[in-house]
Amino acid sequence: MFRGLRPYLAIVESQFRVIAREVPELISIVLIVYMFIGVLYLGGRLIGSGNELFSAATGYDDPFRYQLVGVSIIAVSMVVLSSMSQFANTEMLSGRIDSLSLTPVSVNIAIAVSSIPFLLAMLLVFGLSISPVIAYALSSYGFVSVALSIAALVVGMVPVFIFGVLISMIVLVYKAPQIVNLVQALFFILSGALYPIYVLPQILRLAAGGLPITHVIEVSRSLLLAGAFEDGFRGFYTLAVLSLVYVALGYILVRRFGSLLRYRGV
Amino acid sequence: MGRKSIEAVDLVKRYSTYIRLGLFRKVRRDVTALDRVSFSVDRGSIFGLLGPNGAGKTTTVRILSTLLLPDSGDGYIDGFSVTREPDRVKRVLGVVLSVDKGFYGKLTGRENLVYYGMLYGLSRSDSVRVANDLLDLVGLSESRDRLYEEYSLGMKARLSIAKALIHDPDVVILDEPTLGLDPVSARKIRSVIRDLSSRGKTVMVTTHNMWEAEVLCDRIAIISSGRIIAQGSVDELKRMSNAARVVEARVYGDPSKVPPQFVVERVVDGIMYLKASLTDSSDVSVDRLVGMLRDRGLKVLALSVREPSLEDVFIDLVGGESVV
Repeated sequence: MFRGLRPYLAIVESQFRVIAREVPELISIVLIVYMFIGVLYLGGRLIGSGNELFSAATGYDDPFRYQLVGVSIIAVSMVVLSSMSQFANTEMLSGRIDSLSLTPVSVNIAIAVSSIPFLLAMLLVFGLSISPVIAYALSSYGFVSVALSIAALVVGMVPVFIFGVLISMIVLVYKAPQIVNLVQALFFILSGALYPIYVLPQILRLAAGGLPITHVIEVSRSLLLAGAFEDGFRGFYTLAVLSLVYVALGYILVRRFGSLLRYRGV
Repeated sequence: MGRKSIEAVDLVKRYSTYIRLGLFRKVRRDVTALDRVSFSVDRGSIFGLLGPNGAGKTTTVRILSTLLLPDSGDGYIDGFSVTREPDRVKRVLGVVLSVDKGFYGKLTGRENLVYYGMLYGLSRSDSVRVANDLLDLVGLSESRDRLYEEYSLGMKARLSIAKALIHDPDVVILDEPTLGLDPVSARKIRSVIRDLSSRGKTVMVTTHNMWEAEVLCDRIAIISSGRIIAQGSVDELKRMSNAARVVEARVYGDPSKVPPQFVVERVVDGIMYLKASLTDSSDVSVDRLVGMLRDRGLKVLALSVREPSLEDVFIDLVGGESVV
């Protein structure tokens, strides 16, 4: 079994090596993410503090923690999406995608594991930025709330990875790297990272309900900010079912794109 | 295991392209990149696929490498179908698609090879050992710990060949392996290719360089507009074509007496440099040409007959066609 993992470990290791030799780029990515989180948090806090109905509108009384949970989770998912599509794009432009395709390695899995170094870096950023909320939840609602919200994040990341692979395949088949920007924008608008999704028009609310990241944020807020275990568990089950649906759909679509890629060529 | 290492059987590949007629208007055009391309390569031999730009060489290579599916037909590497058994083909096939692509610039030459070794399932220690051996083989031992982005084009080309050999394949396909290289680097690449053949590996090369194909390949196929128009050994191709032998003579005498079969190329100090072309279908022989000169009172100082080169044969068969 371990022998089968060797190729993917090699991909992760090479990514680590490349990133380690691109220190300025790594620093800039981390700083950009922090700035992103900071700006959005400040914007959200401004809205929250300027609106006395914040509590009534969101169900939460602290705009600081409310924004921090949403923005941190959305930041992680966006970095995963962009790192995967960027990997596909640079592999295509550098000719490495051909070399990769000539080996017995699955290109789809290779794309997914390529984002692991970025994901680990982002989890570090995530852990640091969300630590005040974690400390609050541990002291207020206990370890279970934190553990369940982490589980929700892990389950919710599976569809994000599937989105990442699909976007990467679209990048390879249609040579359209900008598609990731569109998907990121949709994630951002529909996830409810900054505002409760009920403010969205009906049709967008339906779309938001079908997006796993929306449920990750809702579950995490329920558990970490309010200790609402019943809501958290319900949201977790919904998220698990949605993730399974995405895995099945993703499997079909990735195979379809894989065939298309082999027929059209990179 | 059969005697043939590479087989292409009736490969057909069509593409759709669009001709732009303005900002929004476009007309679809179907292009046949390969039209029933068939050839086979004996085990342990060096095979050359020659053709003008856009003839279908790279499309053929990409299909045989499992990177592209044909519309019909199939290819076989060591008996494994490239369309139905791509994973088995990948285990026995090494490919160089582009001499200066496919590597991480921020990794060293050796790190890149170890990376590809592990992609083929080698352990780290095996990968390092094989990478060191291959770096020796291609003459890059001294540069193995330099970053790839610092390599010259010739070094990158040699590293590409090492990469193709990292899993010890039986069959190696090289798409234009000496393209853009200086003569010294190109010679090193040819030396490596001969070395591979002497180790029993089957090598298929695409190239524009006729001389290179002539000195390197046991058999050659010429592809033009997606069709194989001739294949065989260099001698067989020369016999097949109507390319002319060139008769060159240095002659002394009256220029007005030169027979019409000859062209006067230049006259230096009263000595004429003449040239005539002879094809197998010509009704005159070399002896007859010499006789004509002597009959007209011209004194033949020197005479040479140059056999047609592969380039002459290629131009004769392809007819000067080039897409780009």
